[in-house]
Amino acid sequence: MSIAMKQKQKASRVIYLILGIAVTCLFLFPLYWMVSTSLRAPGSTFINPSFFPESIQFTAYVLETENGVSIWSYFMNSVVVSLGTTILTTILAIPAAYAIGRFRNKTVSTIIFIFLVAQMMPSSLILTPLFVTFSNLGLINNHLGVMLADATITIPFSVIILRTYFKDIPKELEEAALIDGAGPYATFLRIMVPVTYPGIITAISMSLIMSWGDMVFSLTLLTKDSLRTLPLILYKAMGELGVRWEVLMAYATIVILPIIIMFVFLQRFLISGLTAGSVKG
Amino acid sequence: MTTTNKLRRRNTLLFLSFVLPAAIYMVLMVIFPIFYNIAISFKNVDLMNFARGGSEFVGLQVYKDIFEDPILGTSLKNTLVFTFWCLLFQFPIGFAIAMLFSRSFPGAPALRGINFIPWMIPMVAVAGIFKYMFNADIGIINRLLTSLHIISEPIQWLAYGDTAMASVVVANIWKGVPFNMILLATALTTLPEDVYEAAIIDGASPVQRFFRITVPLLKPAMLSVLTLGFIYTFKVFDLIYVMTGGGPGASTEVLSSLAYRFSFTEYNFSEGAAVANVLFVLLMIVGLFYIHLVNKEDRERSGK
Amino acid sequence: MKKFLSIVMVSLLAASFVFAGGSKESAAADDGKTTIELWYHISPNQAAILLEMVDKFEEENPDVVVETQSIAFAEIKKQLTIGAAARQVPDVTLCDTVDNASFAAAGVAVDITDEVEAWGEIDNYFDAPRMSAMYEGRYYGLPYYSNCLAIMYNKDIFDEMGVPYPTADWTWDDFVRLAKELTTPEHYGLTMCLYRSEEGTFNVLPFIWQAGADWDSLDTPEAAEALTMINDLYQGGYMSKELISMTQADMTSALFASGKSAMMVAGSWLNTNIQNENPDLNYGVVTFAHGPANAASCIGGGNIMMLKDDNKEASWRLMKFLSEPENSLYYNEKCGYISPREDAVAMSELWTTDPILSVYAEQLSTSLPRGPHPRWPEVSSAIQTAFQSVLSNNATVEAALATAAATIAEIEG
Repeated sequence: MSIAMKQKQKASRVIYLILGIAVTCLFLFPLYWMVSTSLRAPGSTFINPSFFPESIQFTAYVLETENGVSIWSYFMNSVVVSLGTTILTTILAIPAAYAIGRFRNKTVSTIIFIFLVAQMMPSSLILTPLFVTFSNLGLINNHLGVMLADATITIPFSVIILRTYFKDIPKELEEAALIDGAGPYATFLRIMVPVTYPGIITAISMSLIMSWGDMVFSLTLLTKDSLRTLPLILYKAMGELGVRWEVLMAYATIVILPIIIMFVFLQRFLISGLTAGSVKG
Repeated sequence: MTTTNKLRRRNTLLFLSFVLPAAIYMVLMVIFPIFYNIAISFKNVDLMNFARGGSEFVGLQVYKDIFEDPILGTSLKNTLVFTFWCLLFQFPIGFAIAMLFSRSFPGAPALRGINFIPWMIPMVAVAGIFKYMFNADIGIINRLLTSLHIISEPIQWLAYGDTAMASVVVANIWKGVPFNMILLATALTTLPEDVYEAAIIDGASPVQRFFRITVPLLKPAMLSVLTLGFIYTFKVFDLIYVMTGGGPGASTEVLSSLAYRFSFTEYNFSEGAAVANVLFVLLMIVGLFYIHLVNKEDRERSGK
Repeated sequence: MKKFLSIVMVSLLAASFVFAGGSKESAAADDGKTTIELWYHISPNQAAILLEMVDKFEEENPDVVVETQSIAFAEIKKQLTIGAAARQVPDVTLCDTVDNASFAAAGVAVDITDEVEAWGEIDNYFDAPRMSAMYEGRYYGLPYYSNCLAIMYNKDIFDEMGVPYPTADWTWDDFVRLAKELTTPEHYGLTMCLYRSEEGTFNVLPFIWQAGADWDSLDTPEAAEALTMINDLYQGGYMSKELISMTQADMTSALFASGKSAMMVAGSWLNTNIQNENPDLNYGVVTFAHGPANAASCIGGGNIMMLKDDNKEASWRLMKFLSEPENSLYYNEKCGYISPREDAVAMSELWTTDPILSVYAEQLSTSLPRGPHPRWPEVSSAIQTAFQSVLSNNATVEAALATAAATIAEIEG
């Protein structure tokens, strides 16, 4: 390659980098605006807020909600719900994905069909039936009810992600284990599950994110304030605190923070999760 | 019984032991509710008889009622308009950003990753942030437009039908772009480089390369992204519910928010179920197309 | 392996039960005491007064234990409706007055006509609240607190602009003229709730009555006149465009309490919000302006309903206790409401002398209930869609009202 071409290539790399940073700044501006608003003084959002906060204050973060409950106790509710949903999802989805990915018989395509349909189904479709059934089972105002409902979204998603991972395991690996005298369950647990760990981490992190963000099921199945989850509190606060944007943006920041943290550590898995769950089917 | 048969039976049992827990779960929590909804949409379950029972089979009366109610047509139209504008913008923008980050330059993978963040943000938070940004008095969007002299008076975004629709569309595009971007970027990395090199030697311009090589090769991925994007956008609920509540009037009412409204604000459970079923049928039509795509790809992958 | 998995799962679910902190069912009756459950949907400040009364009740009735449960205002109706299907309702609950008839029609509320008649105190109630507790000639509840809307006005703005305060004999013409006159770049002339919820219906309906129409005659020139007046004030910029997405509490703190609105359609309970937001606000209140037909207002408030007859005697004792004139007086005074009992109102100086509350007490006598209709939520929804469609330029006044009237006619069957 000639020097001129190399220089040209270098120049174009710089241009791409500048363009890339510009696009990113523009695209993530809403997040900056959210955080910067949340750090403003109480009442300062009534007037036109400046681009940078004049002084940084954490007042909005320590405020209690209308009912005198700290926002962090709702945070814990969300932690319980998303962890519970994720554990339930993992236990049910891994074996199912393994079965669908490794076995070949007539029912496989039907079962895949059910999971794909479930993935597309709008939540509003199952709200009333779940509400009625859960009322009869005493699962209204119980975090377990929300976990069971959230899992109707996370299980299909996880199965569809994990299926591709199990499918791609070379047959020899499984056969070698079986020849060594390991039973099918032991093979599954000791060989297949560890081998697919990137997929499992992906499924777990996607389940955590999806159940963390759920509002519809919490809205319908939880009516006692003390049990509510964070997204629901953000929604309720938008009605009750209407105009106190610095507090609302602090709530929104608290809702988003765990997701950003997960992203920092699990970026690779999250991105592959989206692609595995969507394009490959 | 022959050994193969025995083996097959054992295999089936093994298969079932793995798949049944999740399958039973799905039947109880998803399939049963779908049938329940179909059942109550042929009855007259409302506030009056929900508690004490005594709802009656009314045939297609509920469907007749909702189809005669202009709000169903309005909501269907809104859902289509919403989906159309979202896809129209989020797909090309996502594609453009994917193309940008598929160039090799320092930091490209990291920047691409960061732009993925909005997709993971809970819809209620997205709605909250955009409701704030679209606020007429203190919203940053009006301030920006005023200082750029694009508008002279603040626009009351959420107070009028068309601008309220534009606001929810913008919020949804923000969340949808990363989805398009990541899926298309992944697909871009699979494109064979030698084809491009050959095209460059042949003197094809970048535009020609894009339309003659990139687009045809990416067609399956693009189709998949568009179909999934359609499904996710068409069933939107949280965003509308939080940002506008379907209002003002019914100008941003979509099918899923209408179903929720019928069931949990007006307590007409049969009408709510009927609207949810209409939404489901429409989604299934597109969904079957998507499943067809998935199966086709499955076959191609196994064929390799 | 399967066994292992199922053990993990069962213990997980068990653990979730423990951590989930779901509603714990209490032991029904210990040491011969009757336990009754009471739900309420009022704000924390008001709940404190209610709980004070409940403690007093338990002191006087050592054989009864009352378990209380707070439910969010927006949720209580859903809870009671769905809870009733699963037989998970409390013995006694507070509810919005407008919903009492729906719950009676739905068979959720218990018919207490015999108890009410034996009690012999119901004639001491104002008519409008009393009617709200009736369905098909039978009683299904007792009115507990009442309120109605009137017009609050910011005296400082009036003084500053040299405009005399409105008086009880003012008319729609005065009302519109003042709303326009008092609009400046600093403040709006008028604020009223135009939100797409029952609150919006509550605020818009008085004007429809004042014009001479009602919820079941929306396709009339009278109803159109009322909605046209509201729409003209809205489109003309005499009201904030944000009102379409603000609750009454929102608009009070964002607009009226902060001095950004000269007048506001508001209920007496919003005094508390104003006190919290801006205790120095110098404001007064006046009854609604006279429209072509009358100067009617809309009654709101809460009723007490009995939902189970398992502990009917104890439940009725609690309902009676809360409704005693002294207790009714205490609760309503403390919460900024008006007692639904005429005799309780007469016992207090507050509702005759307080410059704010006395106006509300006067307005209450010309207030009408919404409905009562067993399918009121659907009626109300049609009204909300109508006025919001007009305000957002999506339909003309006539078209929107015709649509609403058709929907309501269908609900009427």
